[in-house]
Amino acid sequence: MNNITAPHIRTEAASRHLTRDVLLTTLPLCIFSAVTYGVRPVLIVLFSILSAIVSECVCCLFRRQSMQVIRDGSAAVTGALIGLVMSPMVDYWVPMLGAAFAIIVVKAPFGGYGRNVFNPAAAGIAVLSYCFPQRMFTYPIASSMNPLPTGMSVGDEVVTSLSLAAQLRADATPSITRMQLILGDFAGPIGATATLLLVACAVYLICRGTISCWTVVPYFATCALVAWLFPAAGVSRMYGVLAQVCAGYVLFTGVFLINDTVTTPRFWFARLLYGVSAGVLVMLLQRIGRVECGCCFAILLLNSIAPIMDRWSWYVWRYVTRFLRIRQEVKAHE
Amino acid sequence: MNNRKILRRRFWQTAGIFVDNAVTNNIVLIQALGLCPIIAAGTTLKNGVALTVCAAVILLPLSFIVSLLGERLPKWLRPAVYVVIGSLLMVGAAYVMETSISPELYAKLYLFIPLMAVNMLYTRSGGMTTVIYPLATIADALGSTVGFGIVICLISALREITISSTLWDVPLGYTVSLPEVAAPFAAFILLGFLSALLQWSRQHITAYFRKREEENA
Repeated sequence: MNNITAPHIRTEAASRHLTRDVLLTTLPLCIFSAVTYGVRPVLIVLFSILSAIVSECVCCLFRRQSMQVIRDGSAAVTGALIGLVMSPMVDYWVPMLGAAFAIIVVKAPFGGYGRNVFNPAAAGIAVLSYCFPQRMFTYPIASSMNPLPTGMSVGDEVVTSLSLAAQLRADATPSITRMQLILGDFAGPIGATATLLLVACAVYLICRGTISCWTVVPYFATCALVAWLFPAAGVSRMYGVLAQVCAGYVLFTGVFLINDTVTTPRFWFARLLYGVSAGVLVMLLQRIGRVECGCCFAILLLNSIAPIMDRWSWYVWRYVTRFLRIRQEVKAHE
Repeated sequence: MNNRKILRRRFWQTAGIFVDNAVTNNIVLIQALGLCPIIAAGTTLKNGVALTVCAAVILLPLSFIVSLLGERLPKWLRPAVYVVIGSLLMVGAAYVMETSISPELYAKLYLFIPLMAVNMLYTRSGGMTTVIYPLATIADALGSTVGFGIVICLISALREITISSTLWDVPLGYTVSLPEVAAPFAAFILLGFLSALLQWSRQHITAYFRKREEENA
């Protein structure tokens, strides 16, 4: 049974415990969305998970591997994360396509869970946002129709709006109050608007040890700093910070995407570096990128240099500590 | 009897060089040369075939001339001479394409012909220095061209089918179209999968040809 565990984790039970925690935190986000929009968002997430698991099974068949691999839950997490960043009115096949892409193209060819270079969920979201920006970034206004119809596609009867991130990008003055921002009462992706819930998820995951505060805290600090230094036009500085950090994908990325245990560095100093550079890149791409969710592109870029970051920061840290120790010894000698 | 044996060995040696360049040491999938035209221009089968023909027109005469010049040139001068000859051939190919084949196709591809030619010359100018006999050079150039042609035609055909559901401008009878496949990332992914497929099968192909050559040694 040794071959079905990921290399970065010692036992199968441990990897299952990691993915189970993440799946558990997606549950309140789904419920929150279901309260606002009806059953449709839950169905979107479920279809996405289903597609990811089926793709994983196909890849297992192809590699003549045991189907037991899907029990580690990583495919389900990938599917859930892709489903959560969809618009509540997206067609069901869009997240299914993204999840299948994530598993078949980004995860399986590298050798499956634990060996993938890039975060599969981020890659799936990136491809979808590049290919179907019209479908992904049109959000229904919550009060316009509740619940949303559960048919294959939602027609023109739903009043749509630009997301907060898009409004800030276009230098428009958003009409959302601070209270609405904190409570998540604005148009946006399924799982990325509930600010308070996402913060609670982050706290829960940190307490469980699933994600590391060495990445999360520097990431949010950098994001807030960048938003404070370069405020969006037409809004006050504090509101700008709140709006940009809560807008759409930045918070979601900080809680879920940058904490994928496989593709982030392991060493604490490298994690800190990773968090800071992720913050800068995410804010930059959010502002000037071609599509609204620049976060996943930032994550993919950083994934490619994460192992180098790990090694180099370890070397730097080792030399620094050695230098300090030698100096201490010299002082003691004197 | 002895003569026939030498001939047979030569044949397997030449075939080995051809297959090595066309398949097992493919110029695109293994050496990663000529990627730019495939990724940017390989969106319809017509483009792919046109670029393959251009590659053949440039590479085959070039390698023949180079094998005739052989060791007569000093080593430091060789790359320069090859590049000059290759560029002249490229200019000729581009002129013929624009005036007598299809000006529209030339308008689409004019940027990629020099790119491809220079990319191809890269391997040539290095590889030609250890040439043994003219036939081997021709096999080498032909192999490279065929290898490039197979990959670009395969990728451009696949992309044309997904972009506009046509093949060689003939509609295939269904209307599922995904215009985003024209973006570079789709070509990179396809190349990656083809490369993996080749890596998976190449050891068997190489082993077969080495065995035949040894049998006739």
